[in-house]
Amino acid sequence: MKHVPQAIEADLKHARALELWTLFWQLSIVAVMFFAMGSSQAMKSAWVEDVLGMVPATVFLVALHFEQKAPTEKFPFGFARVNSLAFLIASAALIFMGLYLIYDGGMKLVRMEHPTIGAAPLLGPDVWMGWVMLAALAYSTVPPIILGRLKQPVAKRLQDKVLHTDALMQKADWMTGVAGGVGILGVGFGWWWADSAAAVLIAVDIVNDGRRALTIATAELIDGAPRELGRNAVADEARSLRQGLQSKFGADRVRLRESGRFILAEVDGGKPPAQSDPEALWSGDQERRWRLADVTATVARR
Amino acid sequence: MGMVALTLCACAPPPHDPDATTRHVERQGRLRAGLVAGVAPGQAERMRRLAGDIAQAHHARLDARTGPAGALMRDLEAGRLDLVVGVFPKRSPWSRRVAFSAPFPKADVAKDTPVVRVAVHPGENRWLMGIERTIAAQSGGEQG
Repeated sequence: MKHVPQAIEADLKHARALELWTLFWQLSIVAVMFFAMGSSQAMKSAWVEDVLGMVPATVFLVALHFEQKAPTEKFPFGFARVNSLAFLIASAALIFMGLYLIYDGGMKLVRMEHPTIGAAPLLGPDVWMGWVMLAALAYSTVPPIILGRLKQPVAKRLQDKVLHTDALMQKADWMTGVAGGVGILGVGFGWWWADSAAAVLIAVDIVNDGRRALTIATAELIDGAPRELGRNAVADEARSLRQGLQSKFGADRVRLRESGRFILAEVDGGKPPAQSDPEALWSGDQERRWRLADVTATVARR
Repeated sequence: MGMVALTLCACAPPPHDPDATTRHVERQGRLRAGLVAGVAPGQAERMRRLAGDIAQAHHARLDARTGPAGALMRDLEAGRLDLVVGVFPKRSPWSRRVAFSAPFPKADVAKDTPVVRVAVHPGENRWLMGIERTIAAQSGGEQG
């Protein structure tokens, strides 16, 4: 198994920088939202989503650290799958937190609790705290939108599921800001239910983020075939690689699985071709030949 | 539909009261206040003065009655009172059911310290902000 192929070194460096920036901005958002949160349910949900928004960036950085480690005696296949394991845990956390927030907001709707948002404590009795909340929500949407857009092409080149999911979650953060803002404005106009309704809407988005991440992490952990980035469909390049290996080896069966960003192939039957270096066996876009990290062949008895 | 609602509500800047307490008090010219009994005489005087100042700020006459906190709070919840003035800590068993104002006079006090506060129906944000304004305006003359 390779550690970090030269072809993606620069992109990995860029991705690491983007994730460090994400943690920096996200921490500032979490702090601003915490001080503006007050007793609004929508703000509480948005704050939780902002806290959880740091999970993919942290998972990416931790996984990158492990991915670069050489295999050991105890882990002879290396650590490329660390990100999937961490992502599985993080996605479960997203789902449980989202479900809790749906319950919490839903119960407030059922009990018809009227949210109290009074004057801003530090700005005097004439400034409604709702305006402060709206300003905090507006701030919370800007860095994620920009960072999400910057991450998408890098995630595609790196075939990095964590980075890609992170980019999608960040791009969708504007929805949280808008939903929260509508909820606060609704309370301002005397619609007591708007706050909890917005909170439930945001929580549904959190559960959806978790579900998407869980599907992707599970597919890899149970040795599923390589998937399209961000989708559950088998990747086109995996199909073409399977056909290529089948014809080059004259194999009875070729099985592909994903380990982190890499593809591992098992070829049963047939005969290895003269050029059996994994990169030489890659049949798709040559810029992405680093993806085929290992080919294990079981040669048929003659 | 949403735009129509927004336009209708745009006559006064947010926040508005879901139960329209501010509008009722101002239209009827009457503030129904509960004053919690059994407090020190100095505090009782301060509470009555605050209730009077709130009524005046809304061009209403004060219709106050004194009673035990429990009974007054139940009347507040049932909409038979517009506010209750009493000596409450911020962390009170009532804080889940009513919304409390800042202390009167304004001061930094611990959440467990009982001080004069106004309780209102939760979510009546315009009403609460009006009370906070009165507390801020009258606190200067009440220090000590």
